[in-house]
Amino acid sequence: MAWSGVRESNPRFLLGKQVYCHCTNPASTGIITGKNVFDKNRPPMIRFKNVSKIYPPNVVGVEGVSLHVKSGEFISIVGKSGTGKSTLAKLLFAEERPTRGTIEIGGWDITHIHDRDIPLLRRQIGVVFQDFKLLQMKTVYENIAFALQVAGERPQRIREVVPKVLEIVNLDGKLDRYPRQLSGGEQQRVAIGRALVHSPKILIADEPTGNLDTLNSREIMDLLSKINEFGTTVALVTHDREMVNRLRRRVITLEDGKIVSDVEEGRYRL
Amino acid sequence: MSLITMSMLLLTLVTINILLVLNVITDRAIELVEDRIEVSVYFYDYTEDTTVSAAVAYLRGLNEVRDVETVSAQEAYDQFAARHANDEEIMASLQELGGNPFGPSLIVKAHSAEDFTQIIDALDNPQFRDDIREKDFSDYQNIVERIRSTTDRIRAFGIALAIIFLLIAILIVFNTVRIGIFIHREEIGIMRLVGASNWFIKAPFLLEMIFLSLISVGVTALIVFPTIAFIEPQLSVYFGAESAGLIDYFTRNGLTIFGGQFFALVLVTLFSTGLAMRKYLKV
Repeated sequence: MAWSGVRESNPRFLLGKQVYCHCTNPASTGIITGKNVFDKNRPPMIRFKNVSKIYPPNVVGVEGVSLHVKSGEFISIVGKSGTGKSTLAKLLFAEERPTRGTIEIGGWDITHIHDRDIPLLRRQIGVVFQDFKLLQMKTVYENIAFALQVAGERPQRIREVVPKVLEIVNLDGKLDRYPRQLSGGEQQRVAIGRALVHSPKILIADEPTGNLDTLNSREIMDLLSKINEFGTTVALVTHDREMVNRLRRRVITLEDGKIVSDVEEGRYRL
Repeated sequence: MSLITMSMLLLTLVTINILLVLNVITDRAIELVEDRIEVSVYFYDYTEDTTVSAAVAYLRGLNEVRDVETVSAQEAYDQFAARHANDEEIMASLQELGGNPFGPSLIVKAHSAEDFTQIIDALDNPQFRDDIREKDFSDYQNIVERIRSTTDRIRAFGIALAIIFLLIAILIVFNTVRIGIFIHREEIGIMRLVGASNWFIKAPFLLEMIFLSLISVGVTALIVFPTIAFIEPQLSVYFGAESAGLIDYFTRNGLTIFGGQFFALVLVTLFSTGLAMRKYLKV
């Protein structure tokens, strides 16, 4: 595998760094990398080893979670409200630190990740939320470019990458619109575009369809599937039964902060 | 909010520059007074020239003495006659006396007011003590001390005022940054989410304060120069033909004065910004 310009000895630099260097996406976008042929022998992209998160004084977020997610997998994390789904997602992008256990992302142990390394991790993990988290004063183009600007990308690079991302999320005709001028589905696609702009190895979607109608929800799920098909590991946190059942992918069910089921081609059962 | 912050920074800087102006004026005033410090030593009219010369040589050997000027008996007579040429009564009395009633005299100049006492004591030298009829001096040390004590009081008040303004400025900078963090919390959250480095998030706050400091110092310079240009001629009442040297001082040292004030202000504002970010900006 060609990891151009990357220090291979340190896993933190490998995660998601195939970006822009060997692109075989039929859409020729250069953002999503090679077609995903899920290989069960591939090393885990996400590894949780007996992870617990306890909030003071004694509130359980997640407890004793052990989980392996292989590179290129699409997992749905389901469960009722307050069962620890979002905590699990937050642990993935180091918004929360585990109380116990170890977390590895792409071979990088982030259990005790230093504050200064968090930006590096987040540039390699795309995150999408229910409330989109878009900057209302910036256009679609600017919102996506913003993720590259904060990482110190050159303007030339930004001008190359952003139109390609807009093409992937099918918003290339709306680059000058402001978020308020877009539908919920379109806003979520902007958020996905922004998450994709660093060509992440992992995309975490925390209730991405929570604010959308069925039609828009399906569009978003199709987009996530498309992103996954081209190699990105997708972790979907949801309680949208229809979407999970439609996907027919691995489903991890949480209850009271613990994994109660983990089914390869699962359905939403609660 | 930035306007309030800048106003406070401006007030602090203006106060500091007023203190600086006061310092320059005081130093110049004391310098002028000290330049005029002199002791007039009058010898009896019978004093031999050798005694006067010995006194001159002795006095010139003292570290405290800047210069000794000798006025002979004849010069003293001529000066007196010239001074009172229009006063017939005095001139008549002088004629009546017949000879020259004046003896030789010395004008001794000191380096500073503090040297004055030593020079007076030195004139008690037995070599010529008995030939001295009179020692005449004004109490310059007292004048200098009065100037110093007045300006010291004003300076202490100014320093206290500058410290108060500075503390208020620090609090206002702290609050400005706090409000800035609150206003931009959504943007900051998104920055963190997409992997902005801590410095990328902090830099706008730090740069804003550096920019405000620069503007404040610039505006202060724009206030100070025209003001001293206006004040300087008004001070000629006190300094006479001599200049107070304000424009000259600020022109020669402008870069150091305002450069120093800029760096000091940047340090203070960055310190305050750092405190606010440490408390409110969780990155």
